[in-house]
Amino acid sequence: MLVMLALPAVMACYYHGLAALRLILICMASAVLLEISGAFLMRCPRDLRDLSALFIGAAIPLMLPVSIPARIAVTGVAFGILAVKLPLGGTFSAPFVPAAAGFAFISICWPAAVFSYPLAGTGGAVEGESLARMLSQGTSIRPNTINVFDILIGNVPGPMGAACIIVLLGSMAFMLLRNPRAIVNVLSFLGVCATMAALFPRIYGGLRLLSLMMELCSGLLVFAALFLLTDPATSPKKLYRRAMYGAMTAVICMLLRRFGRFEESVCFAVLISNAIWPQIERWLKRALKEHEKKRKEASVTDKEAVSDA
Amino acid sequence: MPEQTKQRKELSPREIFLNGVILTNPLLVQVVGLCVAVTASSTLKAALLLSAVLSASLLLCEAAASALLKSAVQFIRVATYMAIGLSVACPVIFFLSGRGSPLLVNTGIYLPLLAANSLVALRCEKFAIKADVPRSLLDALANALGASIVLISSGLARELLGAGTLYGREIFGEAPLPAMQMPFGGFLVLGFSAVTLKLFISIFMPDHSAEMPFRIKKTNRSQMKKDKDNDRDQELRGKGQEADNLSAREPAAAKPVQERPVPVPSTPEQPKPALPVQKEPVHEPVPKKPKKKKEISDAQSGKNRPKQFVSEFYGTMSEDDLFEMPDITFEQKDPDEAFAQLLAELTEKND
Amino acid sequence: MTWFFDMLQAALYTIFIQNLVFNGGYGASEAIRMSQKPKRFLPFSLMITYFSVATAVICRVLDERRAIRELDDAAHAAIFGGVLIAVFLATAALLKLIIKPNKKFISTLGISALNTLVFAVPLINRNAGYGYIESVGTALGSGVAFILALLLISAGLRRLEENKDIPPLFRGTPAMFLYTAMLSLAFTGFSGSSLFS
Repeated sequence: MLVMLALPAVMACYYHGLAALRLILICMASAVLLEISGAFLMRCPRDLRDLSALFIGAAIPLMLPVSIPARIAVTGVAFGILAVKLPLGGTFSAPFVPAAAGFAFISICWPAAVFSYPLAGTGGAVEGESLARMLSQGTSIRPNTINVFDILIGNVPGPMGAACIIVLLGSMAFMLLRNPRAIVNVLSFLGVCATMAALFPRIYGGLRLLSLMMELCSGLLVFAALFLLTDPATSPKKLYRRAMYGAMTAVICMLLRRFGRFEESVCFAVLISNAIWPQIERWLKRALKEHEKKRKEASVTDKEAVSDA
Repeated sequence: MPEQTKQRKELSPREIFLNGVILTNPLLVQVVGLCVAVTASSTLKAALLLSAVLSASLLLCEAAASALLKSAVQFIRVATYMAIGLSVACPVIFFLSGRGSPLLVNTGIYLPLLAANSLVALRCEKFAIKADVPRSLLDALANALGASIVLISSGLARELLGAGTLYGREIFGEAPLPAMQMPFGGFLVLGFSAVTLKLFISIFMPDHSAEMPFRIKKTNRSQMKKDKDNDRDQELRGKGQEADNLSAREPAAAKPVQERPVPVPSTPEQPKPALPVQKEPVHEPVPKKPKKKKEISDAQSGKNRPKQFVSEFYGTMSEDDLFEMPDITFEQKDPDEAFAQLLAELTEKND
Repeated sequence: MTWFFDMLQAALYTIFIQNLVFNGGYGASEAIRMSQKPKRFLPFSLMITYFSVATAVICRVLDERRAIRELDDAAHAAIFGGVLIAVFLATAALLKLIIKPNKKFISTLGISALNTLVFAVPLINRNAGYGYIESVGTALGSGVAFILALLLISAGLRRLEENKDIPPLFRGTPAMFLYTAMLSLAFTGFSGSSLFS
């Protein structure tokens, strides 16, 4: 996962220069320090070898604008590690995705800072209008106002590591090679998001194809699908359950995008999904068990009937 | 109840006080009265006001419950607690609104809601109606103090972090963590306060258990079925059937349930019971097993349909649902089963 | 059909946008304590819904009278509290006559009636200036919000119980509080929605 994060990090540095690199390094260093000190204070075993602290430290700044003060990004990292990851069971057992929780926390604390994206190459001096904000305001977006190629290469205002769609697709290809099962979460999530975007366009004029592209390319959608939805602790194991989990998160995400408080609510959708999924999985298991029981009973009765005959 | 058991369960005033303030802290251990703690106590001023009103209604209700309401029907008692709570909260609202106090804006509708606080009903029903007035007052004082400490510290932390002020005075130029003013912040502060309490108990009161278990209780069909099976066994025993097979269990049937020692889990996979700090055991109702079984058998025979509904609805739990502590950890085994297991173990040893 | 959509709108607002349990904290202790007993979720939530609807409607009827409408907050709190007590007593007495329930049933009825969630509904309706339909919608929504909270907290409780990696210091109620805090954080994403603006 950390290797996959390297690609968007490189692009963030390419577009925003040393400011992006500095922010990412500060957050990663803070994450390691917080993990060590937090584990000591909370008396829980620490294992830095799983690199999850570094992952949280890198993922949260990549979801933020480059202009954000470092203390806000570090607060998000601290929340993810100290309030979610360590006290609720660590990398492989925490019931919520720590990076999503960290981002959600800072977005309710400082929404103005978290959702103000500067134009690439201005060093954070000039604020731009992100695609997610345009969509949330129902602003008319047409290919002649924004270059589609710019959107794909991330040359638009947006989160520094999540704007470049081509690079994220590269990360997805890497995931396909290294962890093909996880790609089911991603594909089902993006598929349902695309379907909902096409069916219920938010852009002026209701252009379905354009709506689909804008929704998928805006905000943190692809980034969250790749890095938050595939979290080993919260993601289901079986393939069809992974698909269901991805689809459910997509529905919640699109509802939140349309009716929610913030222009980008995918992290809240991931948290809600983390909370709902265990209950759904329980019902699913129970239903399957009953179905299996009935099937067995039916086969036994059939056999008895055959033997009687 | 045997005199010996009664004596063992009596709590000293010191124990009542310690239980109320620390060991069974109403907010952090008993998990009651959270509404005002997570939402309204977002500033120190609001927390102080809420603590004062809560303490007053708790003291009045426990005193009234202990002195006047012991013989009243339960649902009348519970309604009376709310009426007393309203009689405390409403004059305060009237006074504050008359002065145009901004505190009323902070506390919003939460001040009248203190009248419906579950903490008051829980303490009155669990303690006050079974104790004399001085002990009830002590319990009310201890619990009010325990709740107030948490409310005030939570208000202080949330005001400092969420607004950057302390009692209305600016401390930080900018609020360090504005989200702490939201209910989410309240839950978070309570979580870390519970950890602090646990740490405090384990360091300064090592004789007491710092465990605060919170788990799903088994009140399901399987347990009901088990009880029904036991009923059937008893019926069969009564008819004299399976006399040989059941002969080993007869002493268990003859022995009164209350006189048996609390069964200790013998299998390694069962969780260890909490240390003997089982808070306020004096007020734990003794399980009335025979009565319960009668209910179920009545329901089975179809004599009393409504009762059958009620017994199915509530499973076979012997303790009062409303006033049950969340931190009860004794895994009460079926007495017959426990006795049979003990017997089997002894036989094995003899062999 | 407008009345239905008005009611649905108020109910949805209460369930998601301002989830009464997670975003308002109403009935939080009842939800957390009751989450330990999954078998009683539905009956308990039904009781809460019944008391919420009955109290909300009666309080709305009383609020129609000018003499009551013009009273201050303290008097309103006292009247609404009185209505809730009266509804509870009448229900308990009626049930006692008809089905002769045991002590446990009555005590559960007590906790489902006299709690902050049910008492908050008429006060919220008054503050929001809701009419009859919206008041009923909020009351119904409070029941659904409560059962949603029960399901989510119970699922979390089960997960926390199975989770052996939680540090000993956080096991039990501390982890439960943190889990509920995360649920509250997640539902904050809905707050301030543009749905009904």
